[in-house]
Amino acid sequence: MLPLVSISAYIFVYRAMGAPKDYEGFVVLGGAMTPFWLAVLWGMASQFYWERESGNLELYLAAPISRMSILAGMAAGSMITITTRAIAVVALGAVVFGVEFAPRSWGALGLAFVLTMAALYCMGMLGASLFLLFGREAWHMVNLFQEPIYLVSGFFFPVRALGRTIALFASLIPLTLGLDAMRQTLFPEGAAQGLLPVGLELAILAALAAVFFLLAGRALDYMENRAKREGRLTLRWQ
Amino acid sequence: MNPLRARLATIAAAGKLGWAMESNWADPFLFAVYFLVRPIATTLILVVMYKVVTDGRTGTPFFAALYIGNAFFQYVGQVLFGVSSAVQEDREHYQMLKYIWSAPVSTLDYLIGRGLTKMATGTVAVLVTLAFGWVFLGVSFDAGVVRPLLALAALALGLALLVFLGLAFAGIELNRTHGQAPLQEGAAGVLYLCSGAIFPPEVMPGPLAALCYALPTTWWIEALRRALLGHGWCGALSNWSDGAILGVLALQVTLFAAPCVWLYKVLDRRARRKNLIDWTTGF
Repeated sequence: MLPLVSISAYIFVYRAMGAPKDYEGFVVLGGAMTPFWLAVLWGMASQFYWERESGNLELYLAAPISRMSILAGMAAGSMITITTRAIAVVALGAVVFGVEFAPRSWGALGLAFVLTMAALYCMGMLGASLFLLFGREAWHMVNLFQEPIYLVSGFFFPVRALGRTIALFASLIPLTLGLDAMRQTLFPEGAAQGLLPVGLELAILAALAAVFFLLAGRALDYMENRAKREGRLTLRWQ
Repeated sequence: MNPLRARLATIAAAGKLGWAMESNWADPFLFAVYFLVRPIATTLILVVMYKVVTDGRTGTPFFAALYIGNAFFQYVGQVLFGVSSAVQEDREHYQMLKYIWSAPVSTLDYLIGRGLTKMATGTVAVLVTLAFGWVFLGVSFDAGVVRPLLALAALALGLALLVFLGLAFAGIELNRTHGQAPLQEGAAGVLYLCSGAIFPPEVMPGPLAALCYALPTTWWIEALRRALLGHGWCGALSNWSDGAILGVLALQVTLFAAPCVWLYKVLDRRARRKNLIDWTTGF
């Protein structure tokens, strides 16, 4: 029940305002996707920072393996618990709040989820390179990328409400388009308030995944070398 | 040094340390941005949710009540969980808890001092949020309606309550690892849900609405709402006078204070007995 408790307040806010039932579904969907964003922030982007703080980073970097495979492996491990949590949120949302999920296309829904995850985790790898250079500010940066991202990515409302310009800018974060595509597929109200056609959103997500993947590989190499030159790889508590 | 001065010195030193840890990781500009962006973003989520349903009519009593409740609820995250998370931060991250716990100071005072820092940062966040609502969203504070004394009394009682609850949570944190069940997340969720902060308790099913009225945070936020807007939104309290609400809040704070301090001391002793003060798990 715990994951649902944290988003229930938003559901009751919509009820207090007399919003259409689909809006409660938006909250449940956003709540289900929240742990994925948190996992990317805490478990992927900042992963090397935590490893450095605990003294493991040198061991990882000395191993003859790709940095991306380390991050991908860690992400795969956490995906199991996160996906379980997301499914629990959706199921409890349906049972406790009576939210109805009626996918217009299971294929589009599945594709939206998979492409969102691919783009999101590749973006997390890109973030991991930046965090190699961070000191104590890493903790604060991760905190900073929570609520503001919930806002601009439209976790709990149709992102179009922010205005097309802001929404398109926010589309650089894969969850923005991913959530919008899933909302459009799952809820009639979501389809009415979609940002872009679902097909176009899926194509952009695929492109984002490819771009983030390529950038992440290069950025990790560059930042690792730079961190070595600047002597930051073994610095702790700075 | 007399005992009172020694205790105040501990609180002041802990507050100063907490402020350094909060603020000295960035240059002042970046810190200010960080400090302003989070509370405003949190608030804007609710604002957009409201606007998307009501076509942007923010000048309503409902919106003002929602806005005030959400603004002051930020203290819960800052103070209540700030006090308790200081334990994990000091023990796991900076690994200095053992030095503080072995120093000839009261750990209770140390945590209260850390709570004061969070109170100060929370106050800035709340003021920024209120100012933002006033300037950009039409949340008006009519001088003829605002009652500063009621606001200050409610605020003081509420902050005292949060510090006491924070001490109880700190005692629990001393005996658990960071990786265990997300206690803070759960407690924050329950309090956000059941404090009437962003919707009237009557919206929830009967038992949950009753739970709301059992929690002191509901009375605290209702008192603040009345003090700043001249009206509340808790249906069951509509016939209660401001003085009565403040009285109940004071009674609740009194009832919570002693058990929270007692719980902290018991759990602190347990943590010392079980050698958990320098416990690190590499989370």
